[in-house]
Amino acid sequence: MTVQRLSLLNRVLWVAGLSLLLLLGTTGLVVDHAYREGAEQARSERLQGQVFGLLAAAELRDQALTLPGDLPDARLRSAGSGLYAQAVDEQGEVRWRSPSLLDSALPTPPLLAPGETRESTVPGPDGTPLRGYAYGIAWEEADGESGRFTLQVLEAQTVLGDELSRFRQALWGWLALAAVGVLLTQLLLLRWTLQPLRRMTRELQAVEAGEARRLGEAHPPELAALTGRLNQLLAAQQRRIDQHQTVLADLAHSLKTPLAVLRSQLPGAGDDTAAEQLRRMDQAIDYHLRRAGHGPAPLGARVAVRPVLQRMVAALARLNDRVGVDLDCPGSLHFPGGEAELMELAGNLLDNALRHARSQVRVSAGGRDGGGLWLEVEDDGPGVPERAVAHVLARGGRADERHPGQGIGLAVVRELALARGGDVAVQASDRLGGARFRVTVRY
Amino acid sequence: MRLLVVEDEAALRDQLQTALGGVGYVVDVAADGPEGLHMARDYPLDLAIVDLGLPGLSGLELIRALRDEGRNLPVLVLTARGHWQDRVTGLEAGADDYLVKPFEMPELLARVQALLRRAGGWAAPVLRCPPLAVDSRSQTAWRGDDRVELTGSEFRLLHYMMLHQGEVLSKAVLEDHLYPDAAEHDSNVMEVFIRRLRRKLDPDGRLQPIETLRGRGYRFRLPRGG
Repeated sequence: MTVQRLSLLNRVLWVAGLSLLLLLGTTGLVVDHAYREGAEQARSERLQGQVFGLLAAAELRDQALTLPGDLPDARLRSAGSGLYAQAVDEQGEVRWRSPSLLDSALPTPPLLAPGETRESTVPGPDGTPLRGYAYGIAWEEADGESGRFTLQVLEAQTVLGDELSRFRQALWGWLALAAVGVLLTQLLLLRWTLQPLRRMTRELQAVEAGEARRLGEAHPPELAALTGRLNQLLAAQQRRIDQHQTVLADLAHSLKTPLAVLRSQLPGAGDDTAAEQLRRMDQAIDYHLRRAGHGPAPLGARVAVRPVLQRMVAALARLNDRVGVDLDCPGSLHFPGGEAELMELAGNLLDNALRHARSQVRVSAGGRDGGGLWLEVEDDGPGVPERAVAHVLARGGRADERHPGQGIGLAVVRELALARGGDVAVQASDRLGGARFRVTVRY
Repeated sequence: MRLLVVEDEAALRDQLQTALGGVGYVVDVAADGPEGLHMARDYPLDLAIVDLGLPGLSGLELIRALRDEGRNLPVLVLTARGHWQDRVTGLEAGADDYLVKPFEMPELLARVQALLRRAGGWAAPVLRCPPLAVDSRSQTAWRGDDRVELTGSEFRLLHYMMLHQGEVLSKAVLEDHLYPDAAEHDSNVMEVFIRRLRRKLDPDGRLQPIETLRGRGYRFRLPRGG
């Protein structure tokens, strides 16, 4: 799908989704970072507190740092608790270890100047990394004993890790929830905003289907100008078609009535030259009038086929109660043009079939694969001999001179079908035994 | 038979009146829609020929108005345009047949006869009430295999009575439909025609095709037959 084809809804959702991702992602990262720094800072302070706690309890005895059995933090006494401490002297010798370390040895910290601190990460006794906080001390007892040490307190990294992951879980969880909430709101808002467009599309479809003559009036101001213009266009188009039809009707009336007068004043119609010329004039007028005024309708309007055929069959039944007419047409079938053109196509075929049928005519229609539709009219009359087919479809041609008619109906049908990229075929009807006329029309 | 022609073109209207009158129909003419509607309401008509493109009130509106009032006389429509949409709307409005201008007069006469026949419930052009038969196309009457020689007026009376076989037809109705000028001549003109018809159709008096219902009129009593 190219970007141009992307629906408005999808466009907005994509942009909103991506910006939301960027915004919430950045927010998350910043908050995460700040929290982590705060947590690390807090840990340093905690470890420093442990160091000072130990110092307060410690005594220097025989150049060695000794601590009482009841250490300030119980975890220092409990084996493998994750909180450890050690003291190293000027020679780098470990002079004291917290009981929690048991007999495990940890990497020794460097000797630090008094008051100097250093943090480091070292592997712990069971392999888990430890975060160490070392503090340099110069010790001087009242009895003159003195010495320099580095006291280091270590805490398992997992303590901070657990805390961070708990925080992160909460943070990203809430952010995701917020994102979903915002997107849902967007979606609802968009659907609401786009609703008038959808309604307009539905109204246009109704106009195309011939169910409405114009679009509705109740549209938001942004669309009202567009729908107003469309309605004007539709109305203008309809007016032009109506005018066109009126002109044609007037023309027909003003030409045909004098022709009728002339014709009945001639003594014997038939081989007389004047009568023949009159007949040809009449045919030419009729042919061109009936062809005119058809073609693709505005906005690709279309008309449902079945109701039109039903009307025609009912109307023609008034003329001919001798012949029964069957109709087989799916209700969903639409003709890509006006009712007048469809009636012209079907009417001429039906009229022809009713003239020649003995007792039965069948009208059927359907859609074609790849667009378009077909219309078939069969009868149980004598049929059309193969050599006469071309003649029957030609203007003024009739296979059977006994029946009245001008012989232009089928030529008009052919002309209309050709104009729509289709054609007319004449065959024998397998079902009824007479002729079968099949018109195809493309969209 | 009494027909109404509603046509705005004077030349064609005159031609129709002449042609229809020439074959024995009583013809009333109107030049526009309102006049046509008025005549169709007030005259005892058997059929109307209506042009669709009429001034004042279109042919379609005229037919709809008649049908809405419950008048079911046959209507033949004349139309300049051969468009199917016009024909279908015409038939839907209540027309019984249509003819596209220009037409051959014999074609029009044939359609008129066919419509009159259909209105009387007859399917074939030859009306048979054995042993009598009339052929409206050739204007001939038969008793069995023998041709019965009738004058134009006698034929029209017989034809009308056979079309309305079984119905009681008052003298006034027969006069209105067949001899609208009769009242001006003589009040017993109808009796004269009936008597002459009886004598020609039934010289020996065994058939009695037309019965007289005292104070009510006449009835063609022979049943229809194939």
